[in-house]
Amino acid sequence: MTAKQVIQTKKVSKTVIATAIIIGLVLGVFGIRLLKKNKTEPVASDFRPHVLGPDSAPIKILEFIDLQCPACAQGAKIIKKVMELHPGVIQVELRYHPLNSHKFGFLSARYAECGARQGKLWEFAGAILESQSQWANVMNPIPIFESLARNTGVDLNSLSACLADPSVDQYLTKNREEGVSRGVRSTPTYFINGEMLVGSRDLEEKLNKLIAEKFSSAAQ
Amino acid sequence: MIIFVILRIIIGTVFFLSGVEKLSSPYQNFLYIIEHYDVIPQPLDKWTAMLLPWGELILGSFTILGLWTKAALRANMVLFGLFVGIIGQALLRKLPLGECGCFGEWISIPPSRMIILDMIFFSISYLLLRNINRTERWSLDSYFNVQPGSTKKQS
Repeated sequence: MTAKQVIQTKKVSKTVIATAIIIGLVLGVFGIRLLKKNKTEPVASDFRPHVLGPDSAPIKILEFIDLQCPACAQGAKIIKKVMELHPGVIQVELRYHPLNSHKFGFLSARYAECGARQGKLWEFAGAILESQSQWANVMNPIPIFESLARNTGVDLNSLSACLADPSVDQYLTKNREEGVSRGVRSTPTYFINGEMLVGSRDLEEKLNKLIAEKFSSAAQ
Repeated sequence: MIIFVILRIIIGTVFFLSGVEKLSSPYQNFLYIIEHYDVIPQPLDKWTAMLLPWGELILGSFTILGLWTKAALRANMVLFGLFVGIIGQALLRKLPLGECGCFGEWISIPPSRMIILDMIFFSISYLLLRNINRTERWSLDSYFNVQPGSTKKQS
């Protein structure tokens, strides 16, 4: 074998090795993804989801939000606006996903969930989201939460009893675990008809596009 | 001498772990981080979110194993340079970034620290490139013994 042939053989071997490494990496990544997919937390039979909008709605949004996250407040405004403009077209299912980086993320979710147990979730959680700037940077946001509860018709005695109930924290933890198993890392994360969207920047455009598609297919 | 090999493995591991972390979760999470830097236009941001982690993973693996080391180190320098530029513009514009998002949930590093780390990694890559013969010890390149540029000369 000549020196030129040796170099040529080594070059080919190197390319083969590189290709094998890339194939190995691709298989590894898809293996990890498959493992994660199989580990997705099944929704427990006793799980009580918070749903707004009819079951017949063609657009179903599963949202994972942190009540202290500004983009979640922005997203809530967009969804509310689109739902008002197009009644019956959207159904929203809420999951709490309090982030560790937000000091009052878990506390605000606890209050919202206790509001939910009095049938006031959407009003109370909406008020909490809208007034983020008032409570996110204070030392103690509890008086503000209580004031918001009062204004939205939540009974304060039942609220304080609920806050001491460990099942509330368990419910929030279950919500978060479900989010993690679905690949939720940031808030807000939406699954719009199953398709993942992180952040609220493209939310309105996405919803309007889906609604336009729905109306155009209905017109045909 | 062995320090160059260790540094090569460290630099490769940075990219390898960064790629693995991003690829193990849906690309939309990384897209959200890219959006925060407000520098890559649509729809290029989506393609970046989908492809960059693969690039990091492959580049990291090649750097660790020392395969096409010279080209891998050059690519490392390009990426670290880009990261410095992207984080730098975000810092100058005072964009509200809590953390750089470079390693997802694994490690949380503020952008002001990450830009320094990226500069250090850039310098290390340059140093390794300048000492390529030492860097290529215990590498696949040295195993196959094809000197950089030798194939060009042959052809």
